[in-house]
Amino acid sequence: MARFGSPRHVLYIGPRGLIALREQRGEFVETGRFEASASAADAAETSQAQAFADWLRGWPNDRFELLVDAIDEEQHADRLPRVKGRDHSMLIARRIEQRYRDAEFTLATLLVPTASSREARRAIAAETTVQVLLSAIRSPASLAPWLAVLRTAETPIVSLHTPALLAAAVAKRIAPHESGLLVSLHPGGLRQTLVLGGHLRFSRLAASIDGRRPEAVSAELKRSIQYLMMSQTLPQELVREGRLKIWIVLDGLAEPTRLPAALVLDQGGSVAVETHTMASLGAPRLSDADDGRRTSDALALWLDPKLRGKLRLGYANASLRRFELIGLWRRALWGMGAGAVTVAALASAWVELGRLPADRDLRQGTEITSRNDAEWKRLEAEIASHPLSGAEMEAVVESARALERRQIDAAQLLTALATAMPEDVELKLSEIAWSRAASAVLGGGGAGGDGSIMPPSAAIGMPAPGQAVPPPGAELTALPPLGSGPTAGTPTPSAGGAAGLQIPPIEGVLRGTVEGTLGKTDANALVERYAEGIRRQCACEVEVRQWPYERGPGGTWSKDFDKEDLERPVPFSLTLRWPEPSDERAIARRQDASRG
Amino acid sequence: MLLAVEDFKRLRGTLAVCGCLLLITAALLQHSWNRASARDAELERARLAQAEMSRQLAGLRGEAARLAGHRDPYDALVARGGVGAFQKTREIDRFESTVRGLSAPGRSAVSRYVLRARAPVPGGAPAGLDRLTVTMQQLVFETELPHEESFLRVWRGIATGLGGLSSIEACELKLGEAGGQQDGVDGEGGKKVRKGWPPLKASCTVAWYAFEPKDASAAPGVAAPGTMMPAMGGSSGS
Repeated sequence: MARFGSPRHVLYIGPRGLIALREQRGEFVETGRFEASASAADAAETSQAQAFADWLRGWPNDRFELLVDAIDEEQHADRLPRVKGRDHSMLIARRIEQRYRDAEFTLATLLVPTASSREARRAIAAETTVQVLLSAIRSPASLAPWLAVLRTAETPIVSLHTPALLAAAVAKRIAPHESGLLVSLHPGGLRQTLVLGGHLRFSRLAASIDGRRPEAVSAELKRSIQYLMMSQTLPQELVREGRLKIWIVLDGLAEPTRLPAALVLDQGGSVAVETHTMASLGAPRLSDADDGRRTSDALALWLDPKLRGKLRLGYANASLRRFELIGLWRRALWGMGAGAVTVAALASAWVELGRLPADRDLRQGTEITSRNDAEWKRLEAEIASHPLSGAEMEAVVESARALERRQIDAAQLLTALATAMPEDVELKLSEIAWSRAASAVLGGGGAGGDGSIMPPSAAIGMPAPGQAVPPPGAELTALPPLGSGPTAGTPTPSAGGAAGLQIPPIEGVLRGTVEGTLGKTDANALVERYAEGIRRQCACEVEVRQWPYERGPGGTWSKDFDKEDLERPVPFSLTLRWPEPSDERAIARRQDASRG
Repeated sequence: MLLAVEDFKRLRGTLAVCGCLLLITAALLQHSWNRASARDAELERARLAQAEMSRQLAGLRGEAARLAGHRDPYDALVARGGVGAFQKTREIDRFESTVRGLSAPGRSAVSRYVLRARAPVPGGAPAGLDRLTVTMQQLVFETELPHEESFLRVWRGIATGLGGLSSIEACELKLGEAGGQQDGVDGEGGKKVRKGWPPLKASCTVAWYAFEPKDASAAPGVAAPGTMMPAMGGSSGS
């Protein structure tokens, strides 16, 4: 049982009265002694009961355990069917009702036999019945007046034990699992308790004899053993085989040396007598409250809390423990409430403490936000001071660079054409024209329209990109005059926007003549040499658009040999497509590529 | 451990106090929960706001860096007249002034020029220039020169003297009729001109480009486009 740290009193209640014992620092101190009245009927009205009630008010915070040394406590061993759970409880309750009708305090203890081997344990488990010891305080006349006072005072009672219930635990300290008769002298009389195989079987309080005299004790023990053997509570073979012993606690006895070493029974046989003291059995110290002298009886034998702890509540029922239960509930409620508030307070503290780093983070965040805001405003003002967005400005700048690169370096172009010119005087140029090829000035699509840059291919009669070039000898239509103005042309797709604008190549056309006195082969070869020379100079595409001499339709040849016709210069034309003459490095790259 | 009803009545005070304590507990826990939730929500809000601000700041920094990287060439372009309405009168004056500077006494370097109508460039403005349009102003000038070197001298002079965002994008050279020249010396090049050699007729196309806002209010700092003038022509007479 949880004690919650409250101070405890043990109230010893015997036929002759009540003794109050309080635990203090591991030992017990007698705090009160009250004599029992002659008549139980008016006990509550006696001065002793009143004194007890007054005494109780002096210990308002104490909790009480009852140690009842009653004459009319009975034990009865019974065998019950082996059932479990609720059936077991109901069966026991019914058997107690049958056996101890009207008894207020009853108890059932399962007597489990001790098994030393596996076979014995199997045999025990195979049994269909179990042995139960039914105990009761049948007529608690000596208990009633004190209980009335305790109930009136609403005293919390924790448990109710008797020396008989505690005897088995004491016997275990003497000789575990053995059989014997434990004898001790109490203020209420001589208590004899039979323990068989470690289990309680019988207990008797002899209140009428003088238990301090060894002769009276011996005579009483003889009578008790003979009774137990006759009632078959004590198996005779135990006595005959000498397996029964008498354990006498000497405390309280006068002249203990006069006790016999063995008790010789009238019907033959003897029982060995062993003597013990409370100190040897581990009993706590007991002093009275006045002079601290050690008491001479064996009451302290039953005060060890370890003995009572094993039996838990003992005979105490809910009615007896009513105010203890109320107190337990009250303490539990207070504990629960206080615990809940504590948990909530701790949770709140945790939340508040958890705010500290969060607040620090927020402060830092606010500082960063403030700095960012200042930078934001500065950047916004800076950006607003520009007439265009960054992307637009970049597009304008890049587009302007691309437009600047559209200029064609006439000197470079003419130098290339002149350098490629053969030494022969039979070849002369009469017209040179050049312009940018793209129809979309800034890399967009579409062309034509008034004022737009003329698509050179359309302007000079070249096929559009992708269109097949007529082979030598094919009839060429008359070339339109150069610079005759823009005409609608085929839109030329081009790639790139403002960024990565591509400069369209230069397209040019050359017209000239070769001397009419040259043979056809020589004239064509001369033009071819010139075209090749231009290719070498600019690493660009050069096409002969009109050869000096070409086959007529159907592969026929015809020529008039009059003098004028022989001396007339023969025209030819070339077209060139020059990607980017202004970039010398690009020219070198293209020359390397063409050589490769 | 169970109590009778009458015993519970004895615990009324304790039960009431315990109930109050439990209520206090519940209130404290609720309060703590609310505080914790509010704190978490506040932290999350702050974190998200900070992340969003950082993201936008990064964008602004990038934009500012982009602007700073292109501001100088852009300002140079504006100074050259490449941004805003095309200053036709100014550029033609400059062209004519250049031509006069290239001309020999009694002989103009350019015999005739034609200014075409101003128009958007074919293909439109490149991507990213939604608020701007790119216009092109073309001018075709014609000249007659004794030989290629004098042509190159005129070409270089005009290419150097042009203002705005301009380029000479096309040329056409053609030999004239033989016998059109007398013996002499070229005006500035000092090269001899043989009698009877055909003159060199040249025609070149000059283009000025300008980035003009489609809507004057849409692009602050960019001048509104000027009124489109009709095609005009001129001649630099000798």
